[in-house]
Amino acid sequence: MSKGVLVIGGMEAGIQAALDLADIGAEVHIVESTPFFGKNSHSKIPAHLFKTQVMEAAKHPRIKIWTNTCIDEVKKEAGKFSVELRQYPRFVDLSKCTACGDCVDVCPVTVPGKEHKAVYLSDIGQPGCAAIEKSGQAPCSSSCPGGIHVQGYVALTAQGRFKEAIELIREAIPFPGICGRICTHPCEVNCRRGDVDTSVSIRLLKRFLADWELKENKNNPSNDLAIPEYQDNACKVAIIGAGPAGMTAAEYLAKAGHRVTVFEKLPVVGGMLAVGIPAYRLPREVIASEYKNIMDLGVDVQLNTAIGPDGDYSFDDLLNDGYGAVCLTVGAHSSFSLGIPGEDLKNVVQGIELLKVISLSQQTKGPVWKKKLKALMPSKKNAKAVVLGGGNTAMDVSRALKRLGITNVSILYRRTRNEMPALIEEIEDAEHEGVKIEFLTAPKRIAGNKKNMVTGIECIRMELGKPDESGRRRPVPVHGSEFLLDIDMVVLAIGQAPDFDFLERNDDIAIGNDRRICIGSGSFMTDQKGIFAAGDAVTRDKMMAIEAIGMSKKMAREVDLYLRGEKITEIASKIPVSFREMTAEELTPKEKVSGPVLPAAKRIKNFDEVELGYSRDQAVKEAQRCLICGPCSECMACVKACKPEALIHNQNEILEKMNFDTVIYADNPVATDSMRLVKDYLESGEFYQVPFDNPIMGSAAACRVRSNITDIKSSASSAGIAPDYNEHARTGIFICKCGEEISGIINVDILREHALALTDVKHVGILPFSCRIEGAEKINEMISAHRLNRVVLAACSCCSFDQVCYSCTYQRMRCKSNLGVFNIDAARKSIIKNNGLNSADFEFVNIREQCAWVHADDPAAATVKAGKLIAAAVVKIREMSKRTIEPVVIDRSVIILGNSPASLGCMNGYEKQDVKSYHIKMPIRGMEHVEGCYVIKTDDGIVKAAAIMIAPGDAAEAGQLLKVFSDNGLNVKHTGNIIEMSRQGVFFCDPEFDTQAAADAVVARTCAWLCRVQSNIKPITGKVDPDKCRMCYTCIDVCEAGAPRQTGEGIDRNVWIDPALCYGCGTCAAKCPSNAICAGYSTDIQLEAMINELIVR
Amino acid sequence: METGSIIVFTCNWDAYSGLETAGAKRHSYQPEIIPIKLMCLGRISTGIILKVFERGADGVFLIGCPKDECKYYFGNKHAKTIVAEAQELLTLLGYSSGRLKMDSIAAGEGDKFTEKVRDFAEGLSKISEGV
Repeated sequence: MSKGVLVIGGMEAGIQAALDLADIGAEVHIVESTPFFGKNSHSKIPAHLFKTQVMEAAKHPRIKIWTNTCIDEVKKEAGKFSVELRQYPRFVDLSKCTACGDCVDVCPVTVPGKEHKAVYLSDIGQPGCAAIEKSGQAPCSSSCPGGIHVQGYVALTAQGRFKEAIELIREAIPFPGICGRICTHPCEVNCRRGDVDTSVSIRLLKRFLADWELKENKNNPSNDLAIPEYQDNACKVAIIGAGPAGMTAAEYLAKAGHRVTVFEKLPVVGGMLAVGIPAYRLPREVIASEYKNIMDLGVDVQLNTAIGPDGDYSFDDLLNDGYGAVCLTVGAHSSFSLGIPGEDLKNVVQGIELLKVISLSQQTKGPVWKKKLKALMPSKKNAKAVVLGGGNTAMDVSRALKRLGITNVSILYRRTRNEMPALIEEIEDAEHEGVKIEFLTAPKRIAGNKKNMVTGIECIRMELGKPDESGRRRPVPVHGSEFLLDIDMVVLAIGQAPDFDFLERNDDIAIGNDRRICIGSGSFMTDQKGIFAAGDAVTRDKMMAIEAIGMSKKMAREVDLYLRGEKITEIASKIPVSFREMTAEELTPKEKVSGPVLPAAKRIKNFDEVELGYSRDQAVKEAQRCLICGPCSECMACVKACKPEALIHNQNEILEKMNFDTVIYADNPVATDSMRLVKDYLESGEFYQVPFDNPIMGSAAACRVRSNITDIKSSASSAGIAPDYNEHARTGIFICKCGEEISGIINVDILREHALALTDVKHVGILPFSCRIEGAEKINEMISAHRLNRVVLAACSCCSFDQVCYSCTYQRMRCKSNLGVFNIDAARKSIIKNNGLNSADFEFVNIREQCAWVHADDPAAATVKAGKLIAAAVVKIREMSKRTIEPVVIDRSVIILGNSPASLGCMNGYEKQDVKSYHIKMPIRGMEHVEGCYVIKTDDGIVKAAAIMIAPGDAAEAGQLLKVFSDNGLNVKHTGNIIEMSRQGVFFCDPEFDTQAAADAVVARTCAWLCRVQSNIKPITGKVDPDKCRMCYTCIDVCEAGAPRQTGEGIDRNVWIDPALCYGCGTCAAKCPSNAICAGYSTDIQLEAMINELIVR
Repeated sequence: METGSIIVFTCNWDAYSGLETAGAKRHSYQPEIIPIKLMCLGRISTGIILKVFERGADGVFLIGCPKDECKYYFGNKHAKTIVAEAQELLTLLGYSSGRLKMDSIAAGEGDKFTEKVRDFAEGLSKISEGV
């Protein structure tokens, strides 16, 4: 089915075209590629007028506005245009945002090259709600397996907002201090500054934040240690292994309200962190402090407790003891062997085993581990050691051996430096400490003596051949290059595997061919119900600590759902990675702040931490190197600040395919790439192109496409406005807090008490946000509950009419729309309709701009004043006039005056739109406005029509035609609007313009007016009480719009105000000596009653 | 303590938009200033102005659109004659002429709105003090 007209480009021309078409009954979709419909700075339309036009479009029942939307595809099918629209996310909910600007205040990111923050509001652009500039997730954040909003904490750090930064990290992982030291930082690998000079030192920033927090907590210890309180239905969870994976799951599950026990085989916590990473890289106090935070949540850690057939408990023991779930996070603590002769010699040691023994000898008090270490180390003085492997373990082992006093340590690696899996900084640190690395060297055989002691290693040189399945070039031996090295110790550091001794023969836990535990994809459950697994034990890929943490967090989520008996609701979809274009200026190098380290000579003497960490200033400076890829950093500060909860950071784009009869292109072809797809159609004349900044051409286009539109819904006349005021007033008052914008100044409780004491008031409610749909629903509910027939809403909206004024805002419009003031759509809840109420029964009073915001320095006075304004509104609505305004039914006809060549085009145009037109030749013998029609006498007779179009051939004729009006007592002037004259229903076709364009534009505007005036009766329109009217004609004399007219003759004489012409200004009512006219916003009776309430004697 | 009252009539267009802008910019002015919005200043009559004084207000200030920019083309001009009439009546009744004033601002002129209402209120306190 066709959707009518598509207008591309939400600027002056596009908005005008949309309004003109929608007014005659066409369905219009208008797309704008930016988040805001806005005017061009050079355009002559004043900002406040343009704003009202956009708002008229936004509230129009037949216009759908699309912001952030591009055309993806255009196809012609059976005479229609099939268009695919792609709406990019705004990340802000248009039905909730109140434009308070709290988000903008807290946003740490200023978009490079622009003056606004990553979340921003537009001064005049509409919808007047915030928008976030985010082309995707920054590569750093996107690549973090732990799900940390990396750019976010970097941005906050750059601003010195360390507390928020560390909290952001803690929301994702419990180990900022640990990861700040040992993380293999995929964020830095993907950092786009790496393409310019060197990546931002993100890991060191995280470490700085963790250290900063530790210091803060020491200086300001908090006493309110939360003692966990478990719900009756709390489940028991067992976690096997106290490594990073296990403890991440423990934290998540404890926070989710479960009782968690962690069983650890070793005498220390930390798993590989504590026994696989040497203390000079990760001081044990850091592990202790971050683990303590988790234990403080109520997690019980049992050390020296093995699980399995030979352990302290079997799985059955655990399940029988009431554990609802068991998580296997056992890591990978056994090593691969090399398979060469001599591996069984003494002093051939597994790297992992060596590191464990070293660590435990340092962390335990007794002699057991110290003895073990002694047994592993060569006893000879000046011993030489060789480490086999190229990963981080090889680096750790060789650097640890250095610290244990072995001066001659070499690493043998069969490929080159480029293929080494260890981090570059680790390799460099090892070399600085005097570790020698032999590249392209592979061991063939380890030689020993009779005592089974290592004496040497036979090696062979390698060269790189073709790439293998891992993509790295396969090393191939060079024949005859064998050589022998004299050595005393060999350490194997070629890879690790999990140790499955703890599994029982009769359990269902399956182990794959790759020697890893098999789990259900997404469920993390093993083949045995209730037993889950994550971390190194389940994946063969080299797993980094941060990957184990990220995986374990996902597992914990599943365990929690399993324990609650719930199904996975939805997996948050990942938003794309941002690769925004950067200017040359942005890409200028900025020197990296290098973190201080212990000098190499000093550090090889002990296991003290090598890195010393950034100072405050260094951290800020390094964070400021961030290139702001997002540009939004996803620091979530806006989410925390937003009271109406309007931010949706994981919003996705929307694709929608629609058929249109015709398309108007009113976009700026230079500023957007929308031209590319529509170019062919514009060239073939199937689409209409108009200059984006010219509203007159917008109207002309509206006229030209009219004949292409198949479905025009003629606007039915609205029913007369006849409120039923016979019932005694039962008034309800609703006070909006507007987050804290109102309630932060005005004491709403006092205000409520005051309001409850007012006459006829049956209910006073307080709403958090009246402009949200929930606010309207609440009002609706209370109207029914208390049988209210009058409602006063004290918020920011300032009138209850179906009109848009200069001061209107998107939120006010939304509020009125939710309340059904515009009756936008029958399907949408319309309170007014549902309750038989009418817009006149609502009275809105603005206590935000008129009280809270201007009297913040005197809250008590602001509260008193708000009370008076509410009291005035209550009496105003009580004294609402009982007038009934009948809708006008006007003949769709136009009189064309003047000899412009455009007049012929106009007649054709009107004919196509089913509007009768009469071209009248001079001289004109008389002109008057009678009963909604202009009546013109010429020598040929009398012609009547609802509208007049003045189409002069030149300026002189224009003057003559205008003189006809004034000669006949009909005042008409040019206005700021070139087409519409000051008198309703009189239009002007400027001879200065292109003839055809001017003709088309005037036709479009006339037709729009003819439809609008029939369907839109305003309650401010004047009405004469015939019983009071003395026929003094003052109103007729005073009204320059010509709305009041005499009807009837003699005794039947009366004054009638033509609603089609009445502006609703109320001047006639003010001038009427017998108070016979109700017009304008308030009657005299209402004004008097209001004054009595506003001025308390 | 009940302070004096000053009624500020604004039209719904340029003047009201000035009042709103003053609010949006968090400009503060005297809380005794109480606005009443009319669709156009043309709606005002001498009776309404006198009613405000009868009720005991310290002053009445009318703010509309700039001359020749009245939204309804003619309302402003009528308001001017009304204010002149009311001014004469108030003088007869013994009120100082400074207690009634008509002025205009353009759309969005929040700064001017604040300045004008503050000045008016300060002028009234001077009149009350007999300065």
